[in-house]
Amino acid sequence: MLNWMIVHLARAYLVMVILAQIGALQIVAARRGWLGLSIVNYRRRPVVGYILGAAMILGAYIWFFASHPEIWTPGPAGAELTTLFTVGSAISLLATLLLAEGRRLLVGLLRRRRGLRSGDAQLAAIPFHLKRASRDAESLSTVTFGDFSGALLAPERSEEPRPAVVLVPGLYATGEAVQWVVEGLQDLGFWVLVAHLRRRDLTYPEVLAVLPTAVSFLAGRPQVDPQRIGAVGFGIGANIVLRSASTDPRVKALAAIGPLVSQESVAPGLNLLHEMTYLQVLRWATFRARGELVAQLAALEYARKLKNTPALLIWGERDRLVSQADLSAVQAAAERGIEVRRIEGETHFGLYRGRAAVALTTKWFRERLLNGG
Amino acid sequence: MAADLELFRAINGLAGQWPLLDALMRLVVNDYFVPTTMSLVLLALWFIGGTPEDREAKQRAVIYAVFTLLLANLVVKLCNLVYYRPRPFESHEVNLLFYRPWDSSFPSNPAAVGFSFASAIWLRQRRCGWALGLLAALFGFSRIYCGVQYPVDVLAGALIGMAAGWATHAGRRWLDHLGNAAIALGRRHYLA
Repeated sequence: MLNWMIVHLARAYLVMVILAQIGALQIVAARRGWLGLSIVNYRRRPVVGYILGAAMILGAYIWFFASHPEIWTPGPAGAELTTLFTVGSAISLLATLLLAEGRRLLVGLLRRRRGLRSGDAQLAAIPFHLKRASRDAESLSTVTFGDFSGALLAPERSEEPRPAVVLVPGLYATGEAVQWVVEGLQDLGFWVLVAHLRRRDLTYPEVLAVLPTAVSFLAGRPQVDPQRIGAVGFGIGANIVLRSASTDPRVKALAAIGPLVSQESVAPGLNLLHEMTYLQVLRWATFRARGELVAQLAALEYARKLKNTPALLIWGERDRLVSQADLSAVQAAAERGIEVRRIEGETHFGLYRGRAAVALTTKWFRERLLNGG
Repeated sequence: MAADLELFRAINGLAGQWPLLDALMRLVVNDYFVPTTMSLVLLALWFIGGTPEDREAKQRAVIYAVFTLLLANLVVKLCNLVYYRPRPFESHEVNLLFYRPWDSSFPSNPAAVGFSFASAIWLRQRRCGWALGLLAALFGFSRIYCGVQYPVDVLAGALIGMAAGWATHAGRRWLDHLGNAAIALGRRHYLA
């Protein structure tokens, strides 16, 4: 049986342990960039995390050891302290995860107030998302191609025929980048067809039909130049694009933003907290078939088979959903004519929210499909 | 035992001469400071690994530290059942800077706890192990300085802690199953 001896001392110890543990987790989060454990975003200034963490530990220690003289009298013994520390660990971890989630929600709220969408917009929101991108209601129409549906966006300049790009977003975390890619391509005079993939569409081998049917749909339109059709994908959408384009010569250029190249790198684990908060991870993990689909699509293997199709692969330098071994394999593939760009300091989902990948992508299509590259 | 008493007197005789050193020893000697600090280090170690391989190695070290602590505690309890040694303040005049514990002086449980953590980590993470070893040594020294244990008690506790660390390392083939299960459970919940 546990004997707390001095109950208020046990309670104070629990509070001290919780505060010190949250502090220790902040130091670790700042050192390793764990977004899911950061109560402040330390990506740009890890030193803030070190200072905050150290201050929390020191503050908790000073408060407990300086204001509780009972610690020099018989108090809770080993078993009691172990119990308190274990309970404290559970509470501090939960509190840290919730505080990190609260920070994310607050940042999302502030971004929305500034007129930006939060980075984790679900795919279901894309039609609304794209309304913002379309310059007027007439430039956006909902279309069906084969068993799939999507949004077709007309270019700014509509003298015919124009080049076109099929955009396959990931299932999760579409972010502002989709909107910006669409805007950028529209500005350049491209037709853009955004595939609207729902979770139930992401089954193998059915998903392989997305790009070919989208290309057929675009090629059948008189306003589209069938010799200048490209494809761009985000996340798992990039895997789909890489795989399908390798066997479809009608795709003349492709860009893959943050493809997930190995099953292991998307497996459950702490790694995901580098990219997302805990609740985001839980939501992300509800698509259980992701790992299997990544393996079935074997995107990198098929990317090596791309012969005459110029391909641009974009990764974030700090992308934890792609292992170093995977990246080495990609570099090897690059020698075969695939252009690989790593964006400095960017995470996997950061690619979906930043301008860098968007700028590279629109430039790539302009050079390959517009300037006759 | 005469040498033990002599060494005890030499160390305990320092108490009361430098208030700052007394304050430091009183901070270190209590039941909270060192165990809590060491546990915080273990918590940080769990999450600090940079690569999946590094992380797994560190998490394995943390799991072994817990096994080692349990084993060391068990050995100390068994020793206490068969042998009782009075505390120094019970039979000698000492400079007492701490409360009067009533359990056996031999072996030192705090030293066993400190060195079990340190040895388990040292066997897998040398730098961190050295730091924890230093803290454990300070913990043991403070017990003598404050007049609650003899040097031999602390030495025995340290040996028990280190032997427990070595034993769990030697028996890792069996313990690895538990370690793997703990890491797999953590991974399933995105915490390992």
